[in-house]
Amino acid sequence: MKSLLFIFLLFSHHAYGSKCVPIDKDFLSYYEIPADSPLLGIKTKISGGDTDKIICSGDSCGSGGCECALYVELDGCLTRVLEFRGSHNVLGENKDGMPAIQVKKRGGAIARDSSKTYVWDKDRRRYVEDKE
Amino acid sequence: MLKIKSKLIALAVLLYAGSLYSFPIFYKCGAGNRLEESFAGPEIFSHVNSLLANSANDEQFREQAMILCQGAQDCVEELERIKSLLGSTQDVTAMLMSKINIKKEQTRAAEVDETRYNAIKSYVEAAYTIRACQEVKQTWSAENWTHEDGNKFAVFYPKYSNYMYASGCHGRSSGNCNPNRISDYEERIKSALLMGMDPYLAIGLVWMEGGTGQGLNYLYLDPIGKFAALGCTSQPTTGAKAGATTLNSYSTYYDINPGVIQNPVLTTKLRDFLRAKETPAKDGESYFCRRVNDSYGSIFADPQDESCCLKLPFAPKTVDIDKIEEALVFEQARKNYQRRFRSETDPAFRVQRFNGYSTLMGGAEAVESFRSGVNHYEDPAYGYQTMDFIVNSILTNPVIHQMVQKAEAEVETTLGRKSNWRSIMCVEHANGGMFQIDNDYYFNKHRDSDRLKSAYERWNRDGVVTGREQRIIDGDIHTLIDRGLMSEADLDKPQEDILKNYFKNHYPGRTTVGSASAQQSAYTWENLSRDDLRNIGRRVLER
Repeated sequence: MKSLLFIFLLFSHHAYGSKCVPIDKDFLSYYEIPADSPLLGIKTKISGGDTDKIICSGDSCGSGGCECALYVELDGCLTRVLEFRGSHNVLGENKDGMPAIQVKKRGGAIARDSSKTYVWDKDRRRYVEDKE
Repeated sequence: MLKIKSKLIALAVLLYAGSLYSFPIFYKCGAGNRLEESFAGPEIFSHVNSLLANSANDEQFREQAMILCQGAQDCVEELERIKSLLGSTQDVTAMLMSKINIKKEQTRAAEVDETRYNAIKSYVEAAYTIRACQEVKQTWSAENWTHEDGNKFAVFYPKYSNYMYASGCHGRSSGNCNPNRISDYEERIKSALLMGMDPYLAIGLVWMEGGTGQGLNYLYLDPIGKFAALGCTSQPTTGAKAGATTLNSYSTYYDINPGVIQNPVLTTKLRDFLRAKETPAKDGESYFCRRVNDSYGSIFADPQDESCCLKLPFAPKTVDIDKIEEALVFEQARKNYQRRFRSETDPAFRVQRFNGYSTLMGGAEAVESFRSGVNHYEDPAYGYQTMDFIVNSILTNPVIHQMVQKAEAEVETTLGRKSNWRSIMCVEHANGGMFQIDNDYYFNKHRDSDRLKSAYERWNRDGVVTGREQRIIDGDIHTLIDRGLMSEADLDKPQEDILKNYFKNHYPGRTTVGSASAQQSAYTWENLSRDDLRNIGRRVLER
């Protein structure tokens, strides 16, 4: 898996106004990882457009999954709306116009398997754990 | 009867020694970072030495020996003989122990010169040549560590921590045991050696990942790893754009670059692998191809479209696909520890790569709270624990040692050469040599790994924490309430006060992995007692 990691910096801020924080910069800052760390950029389709992205830290990928963040377009800027570690799956059901997202993590000798579903909270403008 | 008693006493002596002292592990690295030899230091001497230290005179020594031997005269005589041996080497032993103590504080792996290495080895061997120690040595024979069924075997992991399950038991005196089984290791150790993977590291990894239930059978590759093992590259993408060459690897998508890979080093190993597994491949040319989303590869005469193919300079049979897949698992694992993480020289950092690095463990997912809050860029906790398994248990386990030796011999007989594998213990010793490491080194590093250090510093400085830190603190508080260590009423306060209460009254007892675990569970992160070890051994071996 590690051998497939590419430095995939996404200079997406070029596509948006200068008021937008570049998402790679935001990601590195959020996870407090060194600036020269490899990033995995994954294009995804969450909010309806083709601009949504998931970024993962290459160093974090291992049997514990990867540390990632989902960015969707809000007010003209790609904005971090969910952080997770593990594999993600976009579910068919929608809430407030956005699909639910399932995050699974394989357990081990110490850790338990985990599966959590996140749904869109329009007031907080981010994904939150669905505890219903 | 007396002999059986004596054997039990000898076992008790050994376990007692193990429970009281840390001791050095000596190891020798040869060409290609191969682990040539390893043995535990003179812990037997140190035990008898302690009897001597606690005895004002010969009479008191005899009294203590009588108590230890429960009156068995031949046992007492044997201890006297060790004492005599010690008497003549007292200065040397004292010198060794003092040097060891100094080194313990200084460094992870200290180089020892050949003279000293051989001297220590000769003392250990000399101890084994006298009768009492022959009895002890018998307890270290693979036979004595194996269940009557010839399959289950004992693993002594001397620490009372969350990781004691490696022994096969989750509790020190009761609870279920799920012992390790020779059949889950034997053949796969040979597979590891054939592919150049450190078998001791492989065992450490499966203990971390899958526990003891499946042994080395637990090692697996995620779908993208199966392509990486063949040498094919890919780009991450999304399921919405999935095409004919998009791989779904546990809901993470990759566009695989189809192609034909030529890798003579790998294909030579694969051919040797089949030969050593008694299914030699015929001369010829073929392609081992894996199509996207195929769990198994297939063998073809020609390269296949939209597939990742490895060109083979031989023609294996279809029934050998399982073996090739198994070989590729070890190949990919081998690749993972060949290079340093950044410029870190501790092998534990390389081992951490198998689990991944986080600056704040648990900041993005729920984990057991004692594991959370660790910065792997400073403390590779997973790597430390794996190394501790290797140093404290795997290297000195007679059953595992025998399995590795047997596999080495089989490989040499079949291939006419020794297996070529890099030991994780030797990867930082480019020129080989002889080294010692204290058996407590990695245990202490893991136990003392800082938790939430930067969060505490931030709170102390600015009165706030980040969102990730808050998530871990919430998990910690949940655990504290769950275990009755914090009152639920403490949550009926402003957030600022909750944080203050946490950092002032609870965090000081949970600043490290070991202290957090000890606070929230029965695990003390101390040495198991001799009774505990004996109890575990009895439950595993059912005798």
